[in-house]
Parts: sequence; C-alpha cells; structure tokens
Amino acid sequence: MSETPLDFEKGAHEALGSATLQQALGKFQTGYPLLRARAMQSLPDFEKVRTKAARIKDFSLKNLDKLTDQYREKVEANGGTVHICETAADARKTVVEICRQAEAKKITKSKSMVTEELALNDALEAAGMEVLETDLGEYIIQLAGERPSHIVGPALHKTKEEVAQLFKAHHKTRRKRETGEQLVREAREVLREKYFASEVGITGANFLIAETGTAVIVTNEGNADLCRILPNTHIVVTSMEKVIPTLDDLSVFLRLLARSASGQEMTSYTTLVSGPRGPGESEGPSSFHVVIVDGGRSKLLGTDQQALLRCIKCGACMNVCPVYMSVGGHTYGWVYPGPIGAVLNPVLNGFGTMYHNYQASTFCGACEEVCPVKIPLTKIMRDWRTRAFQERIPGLGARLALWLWAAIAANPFLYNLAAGAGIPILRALAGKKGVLKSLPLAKGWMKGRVLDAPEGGRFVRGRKR
Amino acid sequence: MKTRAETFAWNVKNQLGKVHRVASLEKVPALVRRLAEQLGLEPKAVVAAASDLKDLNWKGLEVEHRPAGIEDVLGISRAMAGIAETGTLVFASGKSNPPSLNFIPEYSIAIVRESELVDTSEEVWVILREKQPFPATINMVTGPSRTGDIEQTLFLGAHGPRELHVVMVKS
Amino acid sequence: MAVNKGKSVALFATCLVDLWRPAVARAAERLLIKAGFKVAVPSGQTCCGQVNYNSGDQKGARKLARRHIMLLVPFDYVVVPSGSCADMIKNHYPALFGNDLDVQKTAQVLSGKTYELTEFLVRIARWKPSRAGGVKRKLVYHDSCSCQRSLRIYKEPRLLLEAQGKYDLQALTGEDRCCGFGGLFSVKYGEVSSHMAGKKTAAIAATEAEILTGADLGCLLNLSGKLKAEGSACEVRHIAEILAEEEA
Ligand code: SF4
Repeated sequence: MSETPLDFEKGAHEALGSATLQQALGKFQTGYPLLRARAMQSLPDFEKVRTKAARIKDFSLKNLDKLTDQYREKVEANGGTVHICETAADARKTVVEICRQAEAKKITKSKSMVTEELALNDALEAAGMEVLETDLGEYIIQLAGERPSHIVGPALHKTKEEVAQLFKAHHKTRRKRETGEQLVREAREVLREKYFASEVGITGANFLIAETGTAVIVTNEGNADLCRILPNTHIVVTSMEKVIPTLDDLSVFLRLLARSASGQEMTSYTTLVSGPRGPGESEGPSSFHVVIVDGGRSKLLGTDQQALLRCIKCGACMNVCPVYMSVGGHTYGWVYPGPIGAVLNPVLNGFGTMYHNYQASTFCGACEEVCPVKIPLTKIMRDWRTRAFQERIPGLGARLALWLWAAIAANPFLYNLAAGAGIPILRALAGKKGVLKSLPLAKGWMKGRVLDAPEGGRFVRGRKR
Repeated sequence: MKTRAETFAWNVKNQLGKVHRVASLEKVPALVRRLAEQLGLEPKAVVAAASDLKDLNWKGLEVEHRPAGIEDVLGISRAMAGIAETGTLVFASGKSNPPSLNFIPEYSIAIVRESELVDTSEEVWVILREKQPFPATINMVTGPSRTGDIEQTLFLGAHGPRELHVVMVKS
Repeated sequence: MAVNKGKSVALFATCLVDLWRPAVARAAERLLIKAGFKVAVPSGQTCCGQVNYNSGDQKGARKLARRHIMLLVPFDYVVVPSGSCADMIKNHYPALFGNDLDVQKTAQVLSGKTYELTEFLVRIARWKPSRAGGVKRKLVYHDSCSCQRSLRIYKEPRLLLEAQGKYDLQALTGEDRCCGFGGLFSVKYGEVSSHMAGKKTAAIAATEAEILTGADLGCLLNLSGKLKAEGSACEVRHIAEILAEEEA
C-alpha cells in the first residue's frame, strides 16, 4: 500500500488541547445519553425493533438490484428521473449537468453526508454556481470553510461566540449577536430570501422506498422542505444502500432514527417525496431527479462486512464513543467520524489513508450497544485490522513485534527466559517507589501517566509442584 | 388507558406543539381570531383550500387560499391524518394543500378531525396507498421547527414555524 | 452448590497477572480452593493471544489460541481473573478457527466452560466471602468493557463485595464508560488513552473513594498510573485480592 496513513495523533493532540471543543464534547457526552434514555422509554422493545430493522436492511441489501429497479420504475412513472452513479466523479458530473440544464445560478442545499463525500459543493462552485447550505449547522461550517465534525450536529464544535463572529464577517450587517436566539433568527432571515431566489434545491435522503418510489427526508429545522418546495428543480443525492422495500418498513426505521440520533421520539419533519409536483398542484418542483451513488459501497455486498451498509447515519455510535468524545470529528480526517467512520471511511477512501480510523479504538463496544441496526462495529474494525495486517499496512517494526510476541508466548521456555530477564530490569528502572516514569517502548503510555512496575516473581512459574 | 385522541394530544404537547380542542369546525375561525390576537398578529392568514375550510365563515379575518409567501406570518393547513403514537400530523400535497403553509409562516395552525386520528404510521400508509396518484409530497410534522446547532441548546423556529398549534376537531 | 465441589478448575492467570501482579493469581487460587474446587494451574500457559488478535495478526493469535485450547480443555472449568482474557477464550477463540472445524469444535467446548472469576464465584460456585466487620472504607468498582458488555457481568462483583461487607461501595458517574486502556491502544494512542483515563479518575476522585478495584488488571494499571500521576492516594487492587483478604 502506497497511501500514507493520515495523521491521527496530531489531530488528536490539537483536539485534546482545545478547551472549547472539550467543553462542547463534555456537554454532549453527558447530555445525549439522558435524552436517548428518555426517548427509549416509549420504545421498551428496542432490542426487538432493532433486530427487525437489521433484518429489513439485510433483506434489502440482498435484493438491492431488484429493489433499486422497482424504485426507479416508480419514480419514472411519477415523472421523475433516477441516475445511478458508480463513482463520486460520475455523481458530481451528473448533478452539475442537471443544474446546468436548470440554468441554476443559485442552489440551496440541505444537509447530506453523501454530498460531503462527493465534495459536491466544490464541483458546483467550480461550474460557476453558488451553493448555500441551509441546515444551520452546515451553514455555520460553510461560512467557516470547515468540515462537519458530527454527522447529525455538524457544528457541534463551534461556540456561540464563534458563530456570532462568522455571521458578523459574512452578513456585514449590524445587529445584536449575543444570544443563541438572535443567531438562529438571523440565519432564518438571511436564508429565507435565498430559498425563494434559488433555481435548484438539493437534499439528501434517509430512505428510498421501492414500493412507492419515495425518498424520505428527515430534518428538525424544515430546511429540506423549503429546498424541496421552492426551487423549480429538486435533486435528491443519496447512496445506494438507502433502499428499503415498503412504507411499513419505513415505520420501523422511523421508530429508531430520531431516538438514536437526538433522543427525540420523532424529528419535526419527515418528508416523503415521490416525484415532481403532481397535476393541479400549485407548488413543488416541476423537475425531480434522484442521484444514487455507489462510491465503492458495492464492494461490500456479499462480504462478511456487508452489515456495515445497514447504517442509517443516526450518529448514535459516535455519541457514545469515548474516543470520538475525546478527539472530536475532525481528527478522523474524512467525511464520517466515530465508529461508523472507522469502518466506512477505509472502504470509501482507502485502507492505507484511513488506517488510524479503525486502529484507534479500545473495542469498548459502546457503539454496538446503541446502534439501531445492530452493526457489529468492533468486529468489522477488527476485520479491517486483519486485512491491513495482511496487506502489510502497519510498519515492519509493528509486525515484527507481534510476530516476536507470538513466537515467545508460544514457547514457555523462551517466555520464562524473557520474563526472567525483563521483570528485574523493569523493577530496577522503577526504583524504590515501584513506579516507571519513562520507558522507551511505551512512550505513549507515559503521556500523563506512570506505570506500576511488576511486583516481582511469577505465579505460573514460581509454583511448587 | 388513554384514548387515541388523548394520546395524540399528549404527544403533540410532548413535542412542544400546542393543542386546542374544539367541538366542531365552525368554531375554528373564532379560535384563530383569538390566537392571532394573543400572539399579537394581524388578523390575516393563508389558509388551505380544503373544501371544509373554504366553506367556513372567516368573518373578522382576512384569509387567502393560496401557497404561502415570504410575507405570510400565519398559516392554516389541513392534515389528512394524525398519528397518536408520536403526535405527528400528516399532510398530502394536492390542489388544495400547498406544503408551504406548513413551513413558511412563523405561526402554523393545523386542523385535524379526531375521526382522522390513527394509532401508528402503518395505518397512514394504508390510507395513502389508496390515493392515485401517490401524492408528490407528504409532510409528516411533529411539533414546531427546531434546531440544536448552536451549543446544543434547543431553539424553536429554525426555518419553519416557531409555534405549531394543533386544532383537534371533535365532530 | 455441592455438586460442583471437588470439580477441577484450571486457573488461567493471564500474562499480565502472571508477569505484573502474581499476587492476584495467588488470591484467585485461594478463593477457588475456598469455594471447594480442585485448582490446577496448567504450566505452559502464557498469553491468550488477544494482543495479536486485536492487532489483526490472526496467524499469531491462532498459534497462541491453539496452544491454550489444548492446555485448558481437559478441565471441568476454566477460570480467568480478567474479563477481557475470559472474553477472548469464550467468545473469540471459536471465531478464529472458521477454517479448521475440529479445532473450532474444541474451542466451543472450552468456551462453554470458561468463566471470569467473579462470574464463576457467583453463578457456578455460589460462593460467599466470609463476612468482615469494622469501619467500612469507601471503594469504587470499575467495570471493564469486556465484563459489562461482552460477558454481561455487572451484579456479580457487587454481590461479592456486599456479602463481604468490608467496604462501602460508591456509585461512579459514567461507570459504563471505557477507561481508555484498550491493550496496545494505550501505547499507540497514548495521549487519547490518558485523556480517557483522566475522565475516569475525575469521576473516581469525586466519590472520595480510598480504594479502586476491578476485575481487569489492564484497566487497573491504566487507572493506577493515571491516579499516581495526578498525585492521588487512592489505592488500586484487583478484586481477587480484595475478596481474599478475609479468606485465610
Ligand atoms: S453505525 Fe449504527 S449507530 Fe452508527 S450511525 Fe450507523 S446506524 Fe447509527
């Protein structure tokens, strides 16, 4: 593998040193579990429901071609167009082309992680169009020129003061920017006019329903709806694994999604769109497109790790992840942070580049406990480590050390010999207090920590027969 | 055991919506007038062109039956169903029900008859499957618009309405 | 239950305990004898292979797993004073041999008789520690992720500590949160690991406990190292040692 792993430790170091980020994460780490627990009270059979959800997804993935065809036929019968794109580049080209045909100058967009994955905004801007993110969090980070740090709360890492600064710099108006309330209002007013002035609205989709040719879009703010209703063209950009068979299946996912994502029983707006405006309707787009991206996902179909395509992007896994809650989203270095990123990023963006994503985990398993579609996240992380090891992505030193450990531990004679030599050395280094403060092979451990020295002697070996 | 209507009402409130229960549709205009006054709004509204709303006597209110525009502050829409499980209103787009009514005005009033309430979304699908063609846009609305994007604090009225008033009509 | 008495138990000490804190294994052995079992310590036991397994080195892991499967399977029970190593043997050994069904079968047999120490004492041995009196010192119990999530052990250590009656068990905020050890994680991502440990030690400090205990030595060394670096006087001991205190 020629790809150099993206530096994780450097990002982690910065994140750990940022007081504002740590404050935001700390608030989230205590707040989210309480909200989720409260919302789960009205879903006492969570285990049963999520098992059902996982089954629906497995069925859908197994029959993906058929269901996608069915979805496409329905959309076309409703007067819309479906574009299936194998690569990110295809998808970018397709969207830009649709926008050109719509003579778009201004585009309003609601949050979609798939479009982040495609770096769609860059492509549209390069084609001379103005793209405006309308989800408040996305809007904030768009102004800041950053990336989302969380898939549900993209601006989680920003303080109110930082937002006020951004608004001041970009809106160039004088107004009070002291409270969150004022900032929300300002964004509402600024964005309001843009919706009416845009020719194209782009949204993501949380689900595609084969039965009726319906894309389901879930938001709390209502911004996706304005992107849908007001411009003349609506483009849904989403990924291939979103297809599910029926509306009844949707009901199962709706019970899980908001509870998992934000600790709500239901998000404010769940919108089902199935085509352009109908005959006699006075509103809605006259042109409707769905762009379905593969982007490398189909590589997973039929493999042991296919379960990872069950993901409904709720973010619950990162919300309970102790690593995410320490280093924040940007440290992961690509679109999807947290446990889902740890397993998905390598597939979409390279096992070499994304090396640390699946290495930087303690396998604590908190993510699997909350995942609403029961993805075996730690198992897949371990699978990726195995794959990386086979592909020799870890350095020679690391591979040699593991080989050596297995060789020694498989041979009690050698093992005893090594222990007999090592333990006294460590004890001598530790001195009277019995505490090691530095150790060449364990520099990482010593960051803000010491190590108790071995107490001396052995159990297995030192026994009388 | 709560009745379906009670469960629905409880869930609407739980989702930060406001609930009003009236005996009949004829009582709606007066309720709207009162609400507008309480909220300090002009007695003016854009109203869904659903036949049962169009036929009402809107005396004292300036009503127009059209999609909402940027200047509209009060919108009145007509739900096709309400889901008790989550306190969710369901709107199907069509000639008489422009979706913008639910999103553009800062104050949103939604009318639903108690007879139109169902327990779960699955029951809504049964009704929707009957509709030909399938509505281009179906809005499921649960409480007012909200955001938690600034320091994880909840603010209402992000892009859509800051207040959602659900009027449950008994008969 | 009397039916268990006299049955053979292989004590798998784990490499960390054997090399770092052999006293933990001695204490575990004492507890198992007290509970009426014939305790064997198969010589030739070393490391269960978890380090290799979690690093993606399946070959190395299989090499060590195969050894220990053969070494441990002849006994009625296998008891491990560590949640993560017990989890490795119980839940991961079988998965390692998908291509070698004979070994997998044996691994499954072994899986069925392998227990973490506190789980074994409560569920199988139905053993109760001798009751101790006196002034109760404040103690915090740290649940390892392997224990609480993989093995679903939560009540067991608490029942034992309560039956012993010697300590005043403190509730810990964020008790379900990982301490940041994670084996090699603690060395490879030291700064993150140490930060996670810091969140845990802050919660421990808030309880004003004098003693921290748990069933996994890895977590305990991690937290002990953090506590000491922070200048805390909180003592850190494995639960086997705590329970064996009154079992002469
Ligand atoms: S992996 Fe599971 S918990 Fe994480 S975002 Fe996907 S569905 Fe949610």
